[in-house]
Amino acid sequence: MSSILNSAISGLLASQRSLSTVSHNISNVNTEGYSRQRVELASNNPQRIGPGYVGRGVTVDDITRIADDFVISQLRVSTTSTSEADAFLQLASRLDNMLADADTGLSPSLQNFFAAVQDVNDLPSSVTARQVMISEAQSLVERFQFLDQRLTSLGDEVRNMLNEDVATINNLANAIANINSRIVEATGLAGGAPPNDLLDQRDQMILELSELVSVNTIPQNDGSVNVFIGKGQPLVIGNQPSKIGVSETYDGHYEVTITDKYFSSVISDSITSGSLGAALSFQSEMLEPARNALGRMAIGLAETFNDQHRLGMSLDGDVDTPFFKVGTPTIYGLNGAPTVASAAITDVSSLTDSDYQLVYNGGNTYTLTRLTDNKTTTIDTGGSWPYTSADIDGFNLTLSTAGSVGDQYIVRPTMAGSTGMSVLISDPRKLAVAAPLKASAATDATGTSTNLGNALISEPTTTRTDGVAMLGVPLAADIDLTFTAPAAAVQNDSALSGIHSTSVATGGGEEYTIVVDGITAFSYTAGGAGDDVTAAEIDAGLLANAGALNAAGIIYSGSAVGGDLQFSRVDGASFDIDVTNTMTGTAGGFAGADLATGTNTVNNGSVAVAGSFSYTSPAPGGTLAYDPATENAGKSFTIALNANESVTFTISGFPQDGDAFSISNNNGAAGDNRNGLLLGALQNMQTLINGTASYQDAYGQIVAEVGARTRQTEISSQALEVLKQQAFEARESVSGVNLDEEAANMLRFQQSYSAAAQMITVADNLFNSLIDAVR
Amino acid sequence: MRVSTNFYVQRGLNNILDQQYKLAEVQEQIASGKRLNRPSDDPTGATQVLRLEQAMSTTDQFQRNSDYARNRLTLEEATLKNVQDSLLRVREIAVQGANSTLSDTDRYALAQEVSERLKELVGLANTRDANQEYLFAGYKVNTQPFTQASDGTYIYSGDHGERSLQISTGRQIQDSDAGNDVFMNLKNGNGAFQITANGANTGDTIINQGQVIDPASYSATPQDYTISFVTNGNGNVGYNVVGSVDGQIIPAPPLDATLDAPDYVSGATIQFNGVETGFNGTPQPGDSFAVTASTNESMFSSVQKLVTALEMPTASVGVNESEALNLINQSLVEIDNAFENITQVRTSVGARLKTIDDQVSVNESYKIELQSTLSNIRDVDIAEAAVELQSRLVALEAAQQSYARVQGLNLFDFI
Repeated sequence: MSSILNSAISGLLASQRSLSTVSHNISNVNTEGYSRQRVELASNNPQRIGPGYVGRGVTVDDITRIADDFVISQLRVSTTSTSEADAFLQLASRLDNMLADADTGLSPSLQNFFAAVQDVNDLPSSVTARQVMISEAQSLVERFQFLDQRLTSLGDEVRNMLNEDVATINNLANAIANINSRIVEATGLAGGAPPNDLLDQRDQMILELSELVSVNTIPQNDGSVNVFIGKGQPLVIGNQPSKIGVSETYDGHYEVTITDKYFSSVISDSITSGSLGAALSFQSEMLEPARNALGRMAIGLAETFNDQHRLGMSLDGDVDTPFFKVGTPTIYGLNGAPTVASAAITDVSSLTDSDYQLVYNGGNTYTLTRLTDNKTTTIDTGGSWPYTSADIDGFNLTLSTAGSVGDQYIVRPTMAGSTGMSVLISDPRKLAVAAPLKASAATDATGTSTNLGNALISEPTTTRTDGVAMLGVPLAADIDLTFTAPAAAVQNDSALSGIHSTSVATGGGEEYTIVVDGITAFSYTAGGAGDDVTAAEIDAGLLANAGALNAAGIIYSGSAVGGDLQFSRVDGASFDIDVTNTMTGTAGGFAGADLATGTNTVNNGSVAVAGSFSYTSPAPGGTLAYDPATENAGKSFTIALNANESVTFTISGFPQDGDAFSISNNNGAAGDNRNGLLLGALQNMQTLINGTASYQDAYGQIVAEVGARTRQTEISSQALEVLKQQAFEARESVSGVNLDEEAANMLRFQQSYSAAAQMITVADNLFNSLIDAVR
Repeated sequence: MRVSTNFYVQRGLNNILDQQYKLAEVQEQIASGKRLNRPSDDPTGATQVLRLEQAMSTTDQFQRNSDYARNRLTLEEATLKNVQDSLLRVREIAVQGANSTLSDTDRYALAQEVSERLKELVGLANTRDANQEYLFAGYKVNTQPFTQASDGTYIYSGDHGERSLQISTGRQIQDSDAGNDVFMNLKNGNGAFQITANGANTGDTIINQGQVIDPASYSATPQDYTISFVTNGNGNVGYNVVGSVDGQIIPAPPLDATLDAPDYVSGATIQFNGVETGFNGTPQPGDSFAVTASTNESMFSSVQKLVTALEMPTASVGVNESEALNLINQSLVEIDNAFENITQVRTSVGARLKTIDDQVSVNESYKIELQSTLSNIRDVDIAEAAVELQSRLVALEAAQQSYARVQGLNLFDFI
């Protein structure tokens, strides 16, 4: 009988426990991280009676927590990657939106600036148009700086995010260490039975931790769990938490450190996932490249615009004035390493958007590493300090002294490009829209050209070695080019200057002949001693032969009496003049030189045939060969003004002997827009990124990179969200509470409770029957 | 599979949130009219959009530049037309003045009108555009280009600059012509040579300015020529021609320059070395004319020459009259040259205006093309988006309804 009662009581108790567990489950249906519990029942050991064993009721064997460690760790892993993608996406979208907005992007300012340049070209004398161009330039600079500042403040946000994440991690680490010790204690008290709800709480904390950083756990025998983050950095060992911190590095980065009882070390490199990893990688993969690329564009624009602007001339005649102030490279020394290096931009088109690390190797060498791809360059100073290196990616380094071995520097060539930019010109008259030199034909006092030929000279352009002050312009003196006609353009002529009458016949029969190009022009035979040839006789003789000479295409001019005979061929070909003299004395001279007795030949071919322009200034002067017959379509000439500067122009057409051109300072040319046109043309010229990109393209590249990265993160974030959802479903499927199930269980346990209670009534009845029987 | 209560609440909610997000996306596209709202929507498209927008903006600027160039060229064209009208009147007067029956008073009256016309011509040459820039001053737009010096000559103070404007990426158009090319550097005489009477001539010969009939032989030996009148071997007035290089040309050597000089016939033409000219009137032995290569002279100076000729008192002395008439002849030829030169400039201006018009329409169609490409890349197809919006609305409603239905089911309700 008592066995009936005992057994019924055990059933009552078991149902009660089960019902209270159902109640616990129902109450925690919305508790995050809660795993449903189940009462495990077992029948009590039976009692042996004669023929066999009789049951002794039920006992609560265990209250188990329905959880699957594999499913939980799956959920953690997918939580980590999802929250990494989400955090990255959140930051990247900020950048993405910033570049998308027409009001905040760079494009409109760039376009407005160049439109203003064109407006100045339309009306170079208008101070208003010039003022607008300066204002637009200022807006452009402000836009660069605004964007740069937005990037900097995004950097601040990254720092805040790191700080918040780190604070949360530290809180969670403390809580996990704390709950570890409570679990160990509770497990001990319960003789090894797990404190289910504490385990759930701990799992939930670890799940929260896995949002911030990737987590690995190793359960210990005493019920505690050791937690490792990143690539195995211990965060919690038993009841001992480590401490995580954020610090700013020497070059303006933020990095994460971990401090346990003994050590503090930097673990940024191993934190690659979770929202903490996202903040770190956003900083190094998007933010800094974008800032460097923007700076590179600012430097490129300022430098190329300056180069052209310097070549122009302002309304007041200034040359060599820069338009923009250009940002300079930044160098950070690690741990207060002394400043031994400075960097300067040398070629804007070769600049990259990378940062560089400079390490002193000892001796004379430094190693420069490009951080995007770890390409290294060794700089050997050869022992001379200061030493300026060759160009590396568009900049050079000047190393002033040797440092201590291992000194490290970070060189950021373009980071400060935007902040360092400004407009240097505030006076509209100082815009160099005109070209400094002009070319014109020689004129008389009335401004009328004195040139007789139809030759034209192009407007001159000046060039200079980059980075050297302009000294040659304005010109100290005009460059006057005077044309000396080529022999062919006028005539081939040979001067028989000074046909003398000093030829003396001593006996008679001596001969004096002048043969021009094979035609006898004059011939005289002395009739006797003293019958000398006179100039008048030469003139008469030539006149007699004029017909024969003309027929052969030879004409002559001047007279022997006048002392200057000239022969020429009408076709301009070269020819010989043979003067034979067998008389005593001189035969007369060619070009001032007297000829000796005998046959003397003047080969006209020795006369220069091409024409040339000669000039005396700039010293030492010179001649520029120009043959109108073959070069009338235009020939380009370059005259060096000094070692670094030269002026280039083109002459075309047919100049006449004595025609002159003058290259002079372009004074008072308020309407000149030649340099302005060249400045305007820069807009579409591919001057940046190794000559592959215009200004707009360079900006487009930044936009495309940010857009592509954001898009990529967006897509992976969606995919990861699905995975996380699946992991969550899997966990819920195992551990989640189903109210319908609980309702069913409730009914079940309610019924078993009622039945057990009924058994007690039965036992009571039995007992009463027995009592009644013996009463 | 076992499903937890929490799970299906969550999933239902997620579905609704998902549908809402998609709906918001379509709604943004419709509201902004753009498919591409941020670079990440289509990174390649975003860069294309930037490039296209820049192309649009530069094309707009080219159109603006074209307007500037067109305005200046139109003004130049109108000004040059006025110059030519004026020159035509001057020419009429010159022809009238070349009539030997006119009295001094008549000529003087004509001289007055030419003087006025000359002032008008100078005024036209000093035209300023709407921006107060001198049209014909080259780059020196703020300097009055044409002024008269105290000695009466006309001086050009501009320069040779010819400003260009960018009207397309690869094309610049010259928006003005320097005044010296238009008005100053004109060849005097007939363009190749000019014939001037010796001031000491005593006959009343009038020579015409002649022409080059054989360019090859004219340019074979550039030189000056002197045509002299002599009494020849026949006792008549004859003429000879001597070149500064060739020496005696007519009569051809070895004939004697004086004795063998051909007889002078009034109204006959003479030719030598590719030059042809002719005389009228009665020359006196000892008279001479010089044939010299043309040099540059300004249009103003040519017109001034006419004024001088018309103002010459001819009185009764025929000699003076022939001097005046020779000068008028010379000036007439030069005015024709100036007219011709301005016609050439006007032709070039007209061609440039045509180029601008062509370029403007090319730019216009380029812009339309850019606009449509831009629209293809960036803009949303509203019809498509509207359909999409509708289908997402339906999906959202379905998600909401199913959520509400599922949530209503609970075993506890039946206990």
